[in-house]
Amino acid sequence: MTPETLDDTPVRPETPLRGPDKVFRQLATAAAGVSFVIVGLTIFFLVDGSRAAFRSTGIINFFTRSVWQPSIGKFGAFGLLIGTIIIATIALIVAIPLAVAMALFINEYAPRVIRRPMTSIIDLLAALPSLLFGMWGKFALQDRMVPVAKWLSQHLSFLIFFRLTRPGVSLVESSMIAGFVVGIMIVPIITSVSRDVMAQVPREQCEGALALGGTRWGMIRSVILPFGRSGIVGATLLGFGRALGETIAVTLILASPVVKSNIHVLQAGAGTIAAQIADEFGTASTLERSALVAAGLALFLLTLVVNLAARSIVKRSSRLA
Amino acid sequence: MTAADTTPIPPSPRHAPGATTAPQTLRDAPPPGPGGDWGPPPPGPQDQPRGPGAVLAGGAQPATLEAVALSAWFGKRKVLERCSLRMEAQKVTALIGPSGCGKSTFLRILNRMHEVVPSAQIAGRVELDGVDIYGGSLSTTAVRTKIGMVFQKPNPFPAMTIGQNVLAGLKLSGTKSGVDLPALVEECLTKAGLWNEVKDRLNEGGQTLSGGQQQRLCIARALAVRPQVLLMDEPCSALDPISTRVVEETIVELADDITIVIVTHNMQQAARVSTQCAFFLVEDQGKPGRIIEAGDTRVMFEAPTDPRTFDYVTGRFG
Amino acid sequence: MTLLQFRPPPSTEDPESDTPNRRRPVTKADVMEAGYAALAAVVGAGLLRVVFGWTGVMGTAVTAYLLFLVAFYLLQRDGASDESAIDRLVTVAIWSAGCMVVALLVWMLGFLLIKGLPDLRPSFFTEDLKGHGPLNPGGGARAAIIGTFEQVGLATLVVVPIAVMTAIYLHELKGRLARPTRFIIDAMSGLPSIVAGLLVFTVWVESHGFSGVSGSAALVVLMLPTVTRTSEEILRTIPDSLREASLALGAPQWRVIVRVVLPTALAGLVTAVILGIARAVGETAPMLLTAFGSNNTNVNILHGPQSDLPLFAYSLIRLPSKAQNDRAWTGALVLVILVLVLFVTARLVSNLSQRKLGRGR
Repeated sequence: MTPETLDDTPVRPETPLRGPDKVFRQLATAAAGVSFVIVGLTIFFLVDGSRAAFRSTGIINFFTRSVWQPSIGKFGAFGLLIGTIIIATIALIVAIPLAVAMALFINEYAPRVIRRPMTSIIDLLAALPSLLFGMWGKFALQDRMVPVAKWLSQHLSFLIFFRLTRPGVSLVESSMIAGFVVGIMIVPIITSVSRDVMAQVPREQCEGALALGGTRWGMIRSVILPFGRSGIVGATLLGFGRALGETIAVTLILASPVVKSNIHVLQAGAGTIAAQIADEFGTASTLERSALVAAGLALFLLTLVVNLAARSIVKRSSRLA
Repeated sequence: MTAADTTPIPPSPRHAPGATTAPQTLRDAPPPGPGGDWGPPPPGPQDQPRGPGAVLAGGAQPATLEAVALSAWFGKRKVLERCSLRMEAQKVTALIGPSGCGKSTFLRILNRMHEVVPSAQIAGRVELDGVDIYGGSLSTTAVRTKIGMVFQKPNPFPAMTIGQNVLAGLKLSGTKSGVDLPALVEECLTKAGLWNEVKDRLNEGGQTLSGGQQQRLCIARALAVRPQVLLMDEPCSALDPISTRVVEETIVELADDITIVIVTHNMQQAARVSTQCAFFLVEDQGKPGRIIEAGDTRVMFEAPTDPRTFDYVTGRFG
Repeated sequence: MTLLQFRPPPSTEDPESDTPNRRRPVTKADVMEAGYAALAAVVGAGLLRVVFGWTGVMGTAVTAYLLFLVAFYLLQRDGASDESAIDRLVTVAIWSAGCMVVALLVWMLGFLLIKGLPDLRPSFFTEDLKGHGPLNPGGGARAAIIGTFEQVGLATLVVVPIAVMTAIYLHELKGRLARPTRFIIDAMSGLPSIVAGLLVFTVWVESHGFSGVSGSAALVVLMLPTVTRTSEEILRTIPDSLREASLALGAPQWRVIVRVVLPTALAGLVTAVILGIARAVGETAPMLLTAFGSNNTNVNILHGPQSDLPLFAYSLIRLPSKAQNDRAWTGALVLVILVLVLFVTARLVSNLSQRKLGRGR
């Protein structure tokens, strides 16, 4: 702003960054840059580390075949990919009703006095290590689930995934049990995001529904759930992304991952990418390690897509609020 | 202040019937006593012996602030149109007018707070004792220490005690005061009319104070960096009437040592505390605000030049 | 265990203001409430019976009765009375869901306690596993405990400044790269923990061998997005009026941030960090590829495989012998106790600060 200009041109006052302000800004920018560096490193090193495996077995083969023979260099992660998705889907089926019910419970049904403790319980579930879930699932839950699996295989065998390939097959170490445990693990995420979304429903609409003589469930069904629908979908996707990446709980329950895809979820024999990596990495040759890195790359890309989609859905739904 | 200023102001025959009479300024009012018009007085500056003026005058002489053809924009939207105003040293200048006319924006340009908004732009000049504050000879932070501000809603720092709040400006601006700090705290709180009420709890947080006390704390905090000018953006609008009165008394007391510019919605308040006045108005929806008339407060209220000023001060619109 | 966190730490949320309480206080017949409570209790207990494979009536009945008492009391306290039968059914279903989740949590922690407590003696903390094979009882998790503290401690020291400065960049400085940065952080936050381990392995461990510090690096990758995002949300809660007041006093922006914003946000930031730590101590998968684990106490975080509590429990639980498994349970118990302590500490910090700031308003 020079003193001579008395005309009416808008000018943005200059405030050049001096000394400490400049340094501070540079530090903060550098800190923000760390995240870029990490993501860049991840992509680069995962791709680089997979090259040996891709060269050995062919990229297309790697994603379409289900084979794991390190000695001859043949790797196909298709079955592991399917297994990952199956277990994550089971987890969703278990988690969604429970989590949405919990969200409704805390928001709409719970008396004030237990709301705070219930929220703490959900947050505690989120903080507990997956190791605990895995150990509990294997030693406390698994055997108790077998009768349930047996019942399902006998009474609901019209559904192909509840069928057993042969009568006496083992019912432990199954996708079902692993999926159930992972399902409990993702309940907190779905619950808390759903709660936030549902809490943004305008109060007047809810009270309007009640004032018309409606029941609480009527209000929930006609106002809250439609309003929160896209947010809940986003929450579900976030849970799905989380379930795709779960390693330790699945590894403990599945005991030893199986490479072939298996849609018979009640019986033993399943594998996920994460479990395969965790299990085989310690004893893997260089080439096998490369294959595991390649599988990790696939998992990374899959969870990346799911998570980014989930976040944009959640953001959009809360913007509409 | 001349002798003529202390005589009570008779209602002007030009005022429309039913209009409020021009209120007396605080300087004219009898000091409130027990059972007086305003009830028992809260401890105010007049009850305190004034600290030695030399402590405050450590280099901070009240200065004249002059705005020359000031225009302001937020992005493409122009909000002020060529406003010029001279705010005299050791005087209280009030900026009055209906809401939305750019008074606060004008005020914020005076201490370079307007540019905190990323889309803000200005044209024109602001001079502090002849020095262009946008010129580059003074850094932005130096400008803001010389020209302080008190906001509409009291905002003491929650992570600091009352004593720390008063001294916060020194730490934040990096000013080395070279002065006995407890004495400075006492002096600023006294000038703000708060010392008696908080002298025993300087180590407590500011949240325990009432709204009026918090605002006085903010005034004390602004004073501690020894500004030459103090800008006040509707400082009493969030306060109850008793606190308002105490703050108004404080303003009147402070004017001797520091130039004050106060934005106020309340005409009566303007008439009570100020000696100069500027009337802002927006001519039409969406048009920028401008200064319609400026001058001596009494003249503005009794014999304004512009009919729109007359309409405003007589309450025809507001 | 993911480090996903979608809201400010639980303590900054107030359920009372968060969601309006839309319940109408309506009187209703006690019988109705008793009926609902009983239904919820029976459903909950029945499910547990099936899953538990309980035989006999005792366990089921006791559980049903306890659940009934709880549900009935709570329903009595805060009534709910609605017309249609579906509504009652839904109420029962939702209450059952609530009871189930609580029951599951109690079951998990109870099971852990039962399995892990017997071996929890002072020597568990002072001995490591050297020389204590499956046939040799005793031994402890000293190596693991030291490893956890070192690895998580180092990771925290690295993460906190970066996360807080990134949050400042995003919210206070509003830098030009803010949008891409948020995108990148979102991308990072979904990273499976095993992939973080893979990353550190291919970058470092492959050429330099296993070490505790590589485990810390993996933890940094996992902690950074969550702590950053939570910190930014905390900064968002600081009112702008404080920043304005600081600027008006002549403060340069960095002092506004360092002297006013950060001290005011301190409690929230501390809570966010503590919760980040609580998740980090439980991470197992990435450690398999980085710190790798060891039976011996390795105090040198920079060199050589190092144990930590999750690796301790994980490796021992996979072994066939019962003695090894018992040690695993005790290790897991110590780990969970650590998580609980951190969790409670975070709560206390935020409660204390809310009380301090809320006074007088």
